[in-house]
Amino acid sequence: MRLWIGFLVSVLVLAGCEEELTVPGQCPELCPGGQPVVLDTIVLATQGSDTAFFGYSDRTAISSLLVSDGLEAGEARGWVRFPQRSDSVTVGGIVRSYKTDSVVFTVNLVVRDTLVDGLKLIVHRVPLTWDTATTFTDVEAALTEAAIIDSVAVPDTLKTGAIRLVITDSTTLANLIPAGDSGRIALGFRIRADEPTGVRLGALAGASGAAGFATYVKADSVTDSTLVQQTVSVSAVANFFVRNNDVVNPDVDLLYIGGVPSYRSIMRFELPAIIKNTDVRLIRATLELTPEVPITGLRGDPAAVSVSGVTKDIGAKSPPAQAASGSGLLPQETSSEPVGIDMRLIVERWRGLSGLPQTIMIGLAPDGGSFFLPVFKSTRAAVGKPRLRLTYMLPSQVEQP
Amino acid sequence: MVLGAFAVLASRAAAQSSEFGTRALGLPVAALSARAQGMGGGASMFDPDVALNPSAIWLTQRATATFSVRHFWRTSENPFGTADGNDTQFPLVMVAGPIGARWDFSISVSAYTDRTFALALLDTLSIRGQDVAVHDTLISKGGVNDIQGAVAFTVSRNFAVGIGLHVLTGTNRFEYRRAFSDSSYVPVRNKNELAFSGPGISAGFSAEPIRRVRLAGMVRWDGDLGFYKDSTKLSEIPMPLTFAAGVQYAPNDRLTIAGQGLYRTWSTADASIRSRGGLGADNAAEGSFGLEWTRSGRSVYKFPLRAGVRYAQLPYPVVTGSNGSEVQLSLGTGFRFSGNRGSVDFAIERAWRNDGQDFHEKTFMFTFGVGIRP
Repeated sequence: MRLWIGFLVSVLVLAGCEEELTVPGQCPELCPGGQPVVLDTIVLATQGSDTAFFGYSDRTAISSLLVSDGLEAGEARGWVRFPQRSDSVTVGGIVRSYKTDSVVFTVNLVVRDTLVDGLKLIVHRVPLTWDTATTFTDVEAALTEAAIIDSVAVPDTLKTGAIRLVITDSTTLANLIPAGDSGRIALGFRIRADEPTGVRLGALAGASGAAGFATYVKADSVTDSTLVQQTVSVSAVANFFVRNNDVVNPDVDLLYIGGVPSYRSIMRFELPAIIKNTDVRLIRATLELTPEVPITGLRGDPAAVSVSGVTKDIGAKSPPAQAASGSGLLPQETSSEPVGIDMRLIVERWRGLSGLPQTIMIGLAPDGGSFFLPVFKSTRAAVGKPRLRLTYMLPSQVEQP
Repeated sequence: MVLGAFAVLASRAAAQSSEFGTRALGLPVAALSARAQGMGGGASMFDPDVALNPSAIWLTQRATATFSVRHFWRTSENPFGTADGNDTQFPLVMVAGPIGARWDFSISVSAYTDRTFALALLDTLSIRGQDVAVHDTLISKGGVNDIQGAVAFTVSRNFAVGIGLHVLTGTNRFEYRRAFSDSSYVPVRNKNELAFSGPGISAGFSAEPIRRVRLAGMVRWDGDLGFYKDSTKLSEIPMPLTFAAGVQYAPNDRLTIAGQGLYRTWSTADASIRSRGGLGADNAAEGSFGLEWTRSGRSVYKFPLRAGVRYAQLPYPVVTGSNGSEVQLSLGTGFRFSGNRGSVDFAIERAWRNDGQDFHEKTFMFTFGVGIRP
């Protein structure tokens, strides 16, 4: 019996040893059948298949307000409008009038160029009638010295977060909301800094929250000192920004992305047969777009060209395909170099018998809230046509002895 | 049932990882019992528990099931580095026994060639005009197995012949992993599996022309080995003829010495392998010699001392124009119990493989075999 136990233990010990098989090697000396070959090919977008379309993210969907001063990417001004502020407060169930102690306007700083110091946010009173049709010229003309309510110096250490403009001056408070405006106010923003720069401020449709307007008051005829001080708060109900370089008359031979309402561009490709062979491993697929004009934005505020595949190619309204997207960051410094966007996942979905249409839509991320306004050459250009650079690996020959 | 169970093991793990197994069909395996292994393979033409000579089973006195397990510890050296490794194989499973007064029968599953290895490779490729470092790992597991059904006919007290029918089968699973130093390129992981299939036939004889002197010889033909992927035949490769002869001498009841030579015409596949980009194949010879010494002529199964030496040429050059070979020293022993109904044998071996100036491998092996004679 002991012998059998010893035998079984020996078998288990031997069979249970963890195998370690690896030995060092180098190709081609030790690669049976040779080393897998890596190849590169370029596929131009199908001639004439690319077009820019307009009107995707509308003016109510902007994720942030752009405000700039002297920025190469363009001049931008923003504004917000608050709803009617109540002219009374309710204390102990009784509606009472009040006297204003102070007012605080709050806007959220989403992005700034942290290398630029001396940032100052200048707050103006602007017409309540502004809407998304208001032009840059209208806004610029209204943001005069006379319209300034006050300004606030943004600490150089503040990267993101709330910027608070506190008004306690009785004269300013008295004139803040003219009687004819029925308790409503709209604010326009411009900035100044030690050098040209820009900021993004929180907007209604963004994750950072819209501007706020708080009025700190003392309720009339209230003797209880713990109840006499009240706050009347409202949040912005409308906001928008305007810029001096919106695309107004687009060139049909160029591909636009971004802006408000945003542009997107469609382009189509035809994969070579070797790439459709599923035995071939696609290891990188890069969409290369050549800028028509230098790409410029706000330093420290990244944006990317987003690419998505489509489930059906029906032109401008082609539905995007799930799990078929890619993106490539735009350069932070002004650049005319071609932009590369990884879109391997999309090309993978093109392969095979039931692949997706070989069509992509390109857009800007964030859509409707970036200083970048990229414009790329199309297939109608003499040089710099959109192209797809594919790097792939042929199947290893090792499988055949 | 036992054979079937062990056949699964053999087909799954009958392989020895080696840098010398990277070419063509891999490293030929000496599918020996632990007893024959202890004698360096010198007595394998006469060992009824070894499938090499189909007539050797004529000495089987009762139904016997044997199998062996072998563990390897090796150090591989080549110009690209040195690595230690270990692995386990189940080289031989066999059932044999008499089926009549003059007839004996056996079925065996053994490893024929081994294509188990893992290579770690470093290289730099020029992709998109940039140098990109790649880390490749090539893993191959499996090999060719030999399923044999054999019968032996005892012509006289001193002479027997045997014939074996073979099916070469097995699988070879590959995994190729490549990682790029530039993360813009996605890692690649390729998996493939090949299946092998081919026929074979062998014939042999065993004789004792002089008392205490035995002679044996065999010849084997294998047809083309087809390899398949997803049931589709990709191609085939010619297999070698095998010739082997052995002599065994027992000067007394306590000592047995044996030697054998074997030759395989692997070069028949040379052109086929080269046409696929391989390095070809050379004919290979091997010779082995061993002895078994028992302390008592009346209890020959009680811890005998076995020793042997084996030299073999390797058929597949690792690098162009090279000729590999291996030398192996063995020591072994064993015992029987339960009225000789059970047996346990051990062997320890030391092997050196070389190919050219740059490729060396040292292996320490431990073989453990068990036999059951119900």
